[in-house]
Amino acid sequence: MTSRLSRREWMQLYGGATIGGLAAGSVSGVARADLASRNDAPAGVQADVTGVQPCSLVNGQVIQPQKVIPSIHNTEVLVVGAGPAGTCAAIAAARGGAKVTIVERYNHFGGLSTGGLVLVILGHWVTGKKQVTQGIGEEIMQRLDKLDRGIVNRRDGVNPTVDAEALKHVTGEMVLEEGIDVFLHSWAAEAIMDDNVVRGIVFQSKSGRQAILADQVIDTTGDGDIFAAAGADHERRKYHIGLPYRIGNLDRVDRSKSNGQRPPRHIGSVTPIPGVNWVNMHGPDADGLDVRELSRLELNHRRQIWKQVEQLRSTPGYEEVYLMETAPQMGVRISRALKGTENLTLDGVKKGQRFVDCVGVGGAWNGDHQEWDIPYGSLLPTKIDNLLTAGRSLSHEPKMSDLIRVIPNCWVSGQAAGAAAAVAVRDNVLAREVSIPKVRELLLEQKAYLG
Amino acid sequence: MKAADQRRARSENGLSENRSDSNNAKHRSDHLHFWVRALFATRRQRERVRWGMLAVSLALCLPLVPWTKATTVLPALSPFVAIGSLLAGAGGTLSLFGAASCVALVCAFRRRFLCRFVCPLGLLQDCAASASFRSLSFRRVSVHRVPRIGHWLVLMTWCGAACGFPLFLWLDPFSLFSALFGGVYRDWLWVVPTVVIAMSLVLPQLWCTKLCPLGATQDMLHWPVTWRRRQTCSKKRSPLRPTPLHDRVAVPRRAAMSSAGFVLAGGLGGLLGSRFRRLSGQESPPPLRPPGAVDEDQFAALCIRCGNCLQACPPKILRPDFAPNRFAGLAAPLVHFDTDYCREDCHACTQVCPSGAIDRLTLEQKLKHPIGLAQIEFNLCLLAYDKECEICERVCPMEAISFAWSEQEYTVIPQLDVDRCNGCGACVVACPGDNKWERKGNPNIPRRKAITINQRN
Repeated sequence: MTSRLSRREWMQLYGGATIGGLAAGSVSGVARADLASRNDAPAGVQADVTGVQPCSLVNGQVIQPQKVIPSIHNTEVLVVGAGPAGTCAAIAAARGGAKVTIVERYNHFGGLSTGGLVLVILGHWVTGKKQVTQGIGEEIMQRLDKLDRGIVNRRDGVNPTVDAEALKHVTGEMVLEEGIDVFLHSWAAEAIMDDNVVRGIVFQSKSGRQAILADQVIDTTGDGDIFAAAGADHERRKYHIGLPYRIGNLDRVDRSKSNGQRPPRHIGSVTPIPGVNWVNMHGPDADGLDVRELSRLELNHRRQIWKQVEQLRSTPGYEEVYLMETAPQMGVRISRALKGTENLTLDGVKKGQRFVDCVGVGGAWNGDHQEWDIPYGSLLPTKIDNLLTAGRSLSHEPKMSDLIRVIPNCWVSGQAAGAAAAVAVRDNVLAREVSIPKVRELLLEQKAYLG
Repeated sequence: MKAADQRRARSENGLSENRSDSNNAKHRSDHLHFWVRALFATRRQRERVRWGMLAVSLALCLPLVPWTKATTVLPALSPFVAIGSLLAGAGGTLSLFGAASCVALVCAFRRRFLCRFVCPLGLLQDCAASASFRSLSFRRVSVHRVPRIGHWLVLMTWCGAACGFPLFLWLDPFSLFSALFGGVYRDWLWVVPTVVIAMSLVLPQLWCTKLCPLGATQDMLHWPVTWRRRQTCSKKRSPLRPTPLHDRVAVPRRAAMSSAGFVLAGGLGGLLGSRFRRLSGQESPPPLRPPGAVDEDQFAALCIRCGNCLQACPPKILRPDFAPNRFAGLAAPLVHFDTDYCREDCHACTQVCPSGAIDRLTLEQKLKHPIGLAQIEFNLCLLAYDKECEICERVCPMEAISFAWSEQEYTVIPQLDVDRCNGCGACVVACPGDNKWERKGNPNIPRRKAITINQRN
């Protein structure tokens, strides 16, 4: 392909003057290598071609040459993934006195709770209408309370629903208030290992491939990308992958036309925005780590969503309803689960098992269950040091998935991981050797509920 | 005089010696003697035994003793129930009927042994009667002329049992006493025993002498001895002295009347018992009975409505059925899943049935013994409305529910493993899906959940 380019085109490309021409023209391997090198260079300066080391094809295998990756940043606590668990981990660690950096692949905070349009806060209370999700999670909800159209249905014993944009705003503000370094649009790719100890991560972005070094790393990618890359023991699981969406104009629905009838399906549930509902989707059991599967499902789901909305529109009275948006991020429920030093089991939870190293208390979906402990051991890999996980990837058996993965419980485990990392940094010890009483003390200072 | 004086002096000496020797011991024995006399002097021996038995019965029926089968003891002592349920074909354990046969043996030789020494209901009635006559000064109504209905009831019940349905097995006074306390916490099982006790306010002795089937059973058990006594009495009577006229006439007539009554009662009982199933209403899907309950027809017959299983059930999901589809099942225990479910770690109700209506099951057996079968109505399921819910799968102790993807519905659908489901109702209690939309317009429509437990076919 490269042979078809003229000398002038070569010159133009190397000069980096005509990006539009590149996009319109053929995208070649050389061009990609060029782009990567360009991004390293300061804006407006001619790119240094000599540093480019493209992959080569040797005997049908793609070989990546050994290269030095620029280490652009040093931090004490590095949080990878800014979903519900990640934001809480970063805020908790920063409030614990650590210098914190957060790396996020999308352009916002909140992960599935915002970008995934999982808008219902499900599972923050237990039997007796007691709210167990306190600390940063509760603070987020309180801040949403103060916003106009930030959160709805916030009363005892009911699962509230948030507005995705409001939650993005609130978590963004909270992260900024704590002075956390933020890298958005950055896809964490690899772990940097020193024997069994994690030293940082390598991530890919428009700036190319770069590294961040850290004393403690918290993997809140949800998929456990970092602990998998670090070689920690884990399990891969398949679970429902869906694509939630929002529909609008529900305030224009003429309900008199369908009086006494069963409400149409795919009507969804209310959001803080009047006339807008969010519709959940379950989807088939699929591998959330298989990109072809994800692509296929994404397209299938979109086709189905269009069909569902059309079906809704054909119901008498619902003609005005329209599809507002589909979630920017696919709803992968469970993909990897760490094999931690302690494992959460449904039997244990049903029997009210308590842990000495409890760093958080989880709730149940409809408050139909007693509270259950999240032990520190479930965040901690068996072999790898200075790495913690939180959120849906913490150590649990498959039957526990539905309790682990919900937003409030991710907030709780995230805050626990953040506090533990802060204590480890403060005491200059491995995450494995951190003093649990100190972590609990810090968590209680941060108004977390520990049973 | 001298001798007498000496004797008195000796005795006084002896007394004084005794006092000086063991003054304290004497005092103690005096105290003891006083209390024992105070205790024994007020009532006769039999009364004390009866009060003791009332206390024991209360301890067993409430139950105050930490023994799971305590409530079984009292109803299981009744020979009336034992014979009736055996005739009705109760399987079950021999240990249930062992106690009753021992009691029956005693009753055969000691007339109305249970009435005189054991029956707590009788004592309560006596108390009620004496209280009412002291305070309200009722005129005592003689029940002497009332025929022995109890004998007829017993015969009807037993003949009915042999032919299909023991008609009045539930009138056993021990099970009534049990129902008084087992059912006092909830529902209306206590009504019949209360009526029986209240009856003695106006008509003392009517129940005990004429109506009580257990009393009649004891009379029947005693018949051989009575008959032999009568034989010996008539032999002893001098042949020279003619039998008084009223005896000669009365005895054969009474005998003839009573035997005619017995035959009639037995025949009627057999007829009713054999027809009872048809008389009691249309066949319909049988209701949900406690785990280990025998076949529905058999169950309605054998259950003596003692309330033991209701009382034993820790989550209190058993309730007497006062609106049965078939009359035969009136007041028999029914499983309700509106508040709680049949616990996977409990088999209490299967341990306390005194009549064999519920088989004795171990915990493992009970888990496999189905109450019914779950049925999922997907239209009401939250998953049909794209909601996030998996509670039925999570709470199912038998792991009988799973979710399967349906391309057609484009969602996951709860699936039931029919072989695993034992109808414990955990999913029903937890299920948040119902017909709310339907009831919004019309509140008279009953609430229907997405999962229900129905009888297995």
